[in-house]
Amino acid sequence: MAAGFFSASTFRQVGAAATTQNLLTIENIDATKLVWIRRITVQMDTTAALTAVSPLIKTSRTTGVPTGGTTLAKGQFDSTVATNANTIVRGSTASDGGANSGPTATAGTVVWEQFMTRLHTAVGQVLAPDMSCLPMLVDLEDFVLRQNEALMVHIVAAATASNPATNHYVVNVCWEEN
Amino acid sequence: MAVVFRGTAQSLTIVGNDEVAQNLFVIENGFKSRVNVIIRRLTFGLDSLVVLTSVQNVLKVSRCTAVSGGVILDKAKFVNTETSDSNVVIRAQANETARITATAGDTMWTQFGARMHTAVEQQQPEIDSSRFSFRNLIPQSALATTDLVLRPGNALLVKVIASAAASNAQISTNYAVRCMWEEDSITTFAISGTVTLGGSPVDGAKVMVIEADDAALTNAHLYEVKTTAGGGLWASTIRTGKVGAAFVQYQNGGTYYTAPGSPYLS
Repeated sequence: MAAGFFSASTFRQVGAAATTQNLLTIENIDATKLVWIRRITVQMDTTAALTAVSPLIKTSRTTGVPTGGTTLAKGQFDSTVATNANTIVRGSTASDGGANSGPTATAGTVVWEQFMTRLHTAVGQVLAPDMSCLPMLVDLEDFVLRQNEALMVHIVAAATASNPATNHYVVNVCWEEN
Repeated sequence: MAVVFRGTAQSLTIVGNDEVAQNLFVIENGFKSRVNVIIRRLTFGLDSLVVLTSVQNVLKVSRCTAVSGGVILDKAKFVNTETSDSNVVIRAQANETARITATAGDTMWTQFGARMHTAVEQQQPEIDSSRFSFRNLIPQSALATTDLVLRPGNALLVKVIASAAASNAQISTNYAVRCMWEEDSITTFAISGTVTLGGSPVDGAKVMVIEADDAALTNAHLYEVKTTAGGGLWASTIRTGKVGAAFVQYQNGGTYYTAPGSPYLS
């Protein structure tokens, strides 16, 4: 059945000082092959206090195939199994902390959402745990991307001040291809 | 095939290197290896002793090439009767004189480290028991169905990327990296023969078994030296998909005899 597992990771992405920001998309444009998402996580570091509500990280299917952004390299779980060129992962920047430039996509129904962290006062230790962007059981229950389907991880903030450039995000995704 | 070894390796405490990039840890499966390495768990701890109010470091995992340096780590066994392939080598930076050199490939997974915004209260440098949440350097799934395989010649690198050199200070930043893996044996085919001198079998001849990726001798290496016995007999194995050859030296009464090998066999 499965041809193999693969993963990709965004560079460190800074907050866009906007109420919405697209962090990562994964799309399947292959006519016959399937993509199963097995794990998708986001981590966040924030260096400034925020007393308003945390940004929400939402995961949605998109209403079309994403465009723009930075196409990310794909890691192989087995060096003898090549990833399908029609599986495309996009982030918003081509370097850690670099300028954001997409990706562009229209979010559909939200599949999962997760509050991110915030510092009510900027004291003490700051950790960046994995926040699951899909239910954990997708490693067992297939979450499928068929031809021209895509999944997007995006920020929805209550106010632009909740998503400042002092926020930093990393998104990781692991998937399976047949 | 079959799992023939399960084990772990732990780095010593690794201090930061005052640079924006630092190779911490490599697990490599040498090209001569007779096993595939399956990474089951790869995590890290981080303790920082000084305040950092800018963004914390990230640790990136990638396949890598051109590995050298560091210190070779001990391999702990899950089962004492099992033996790790000697070509499976784990190395970490131990101090400033033992840095690891490696060329990173495509990033597979990224994790923020941790930082101390102000120096107060308890620090939690290690939360390895919370396996889905913290310090994972490879994706963690419930059933470990996502075999991350290092075939012979493959290696995996854990590397720090800091936004500024001051964020990775030698005097205050401490890392620990640990790995658990399995070794899955690779299938082989048998080769054997009889060494003769003047038409008569001879015992005590040395047979050098050479293995290579192909007849052009890519990655050719000496697999083992066998000594003929029981009527000039010898036997060895070659990995499936590789080619093999044998060369002979025999000493008798101070005279050395040699025999050229046959063309590579597959």
